[in-house]
Amino acid sequence: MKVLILGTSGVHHTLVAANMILSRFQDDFTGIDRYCDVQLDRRGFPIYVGSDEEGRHIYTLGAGKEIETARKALEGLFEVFSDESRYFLITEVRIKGEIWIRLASALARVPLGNWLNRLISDLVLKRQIPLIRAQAEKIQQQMEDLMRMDYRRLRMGTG
Amino acid sequence: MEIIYHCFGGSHSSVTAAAIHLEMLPTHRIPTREELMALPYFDKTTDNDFGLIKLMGVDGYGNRVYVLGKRSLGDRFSRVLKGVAELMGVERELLVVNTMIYVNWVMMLGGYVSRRIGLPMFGRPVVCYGTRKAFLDLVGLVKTVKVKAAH
Repeated sequence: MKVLILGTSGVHHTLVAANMILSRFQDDFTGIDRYCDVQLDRRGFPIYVGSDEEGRHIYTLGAGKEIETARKALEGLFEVFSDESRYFLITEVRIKGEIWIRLASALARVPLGNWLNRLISDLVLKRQIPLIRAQAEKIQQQMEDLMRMDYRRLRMGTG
Repeated sequence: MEIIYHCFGGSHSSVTAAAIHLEMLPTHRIPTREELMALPYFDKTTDNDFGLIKLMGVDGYGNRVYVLGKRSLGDRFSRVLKGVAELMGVERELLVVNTMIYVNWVMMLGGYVSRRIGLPMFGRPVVCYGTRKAFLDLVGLVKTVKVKAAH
């Protein structure tokens, strides 16, 4: 199974949530690989974060302010390739203050921008940890549900 | 193969390119305003259509041709779709084409007046004029896409 966590950024709150799902988050952003890597986010490709013990691959994807448009388009793409998307879960992580994260990402282009990006992101995300954790737990539940559904489908011979 | 033409609103340049691809428009001459207006989705989309992948038809080789409005996601959007297609293992079955490169300021102005402000009476003649101006460039783009799809 592949899990795609969509957000306004693929290297801030979505990345924190992905690390929470993978049990790697220790209440400290410094240990998160590729945290605040805005250049990686701008490329537009899904970012592979890691796999859990069940072999489920977790990815993040940033869509900026057009997150709704991106979500609809990806759902449409899943319909076009319905067979191939059966083991794919697309979900979202949203936080309060996303506009600050967008501002921090934009600042990364100017001198000292990376430092500012990191500073603002840390300040915003520290306050949002409970909200991100709640959404990460919900995603884990969705992953479990999808796995159970697949198991049932295979048992019934309809897979 | 699935071919997705995308532009800002999924209403003008992507629809015109998809129509050229599907031979719904002549390519040896510039289409009339009436011919453009007769196309499905041409200058008829609403805000709810942003992000929706809409099937325009199937070409002579069995390729399904779609249109999509991506708002301000820019060229990054092609990479988003291609990246997700890669994760699904279907990247060879998907062609994503950005038609924004041939959108002129007349089309932008007409499209804005017709779709955003909601004054099609004023915007449509302008957007049709702009589309006719960009038409031959779109014909060239579609030719390239068809060659790519054939490989």
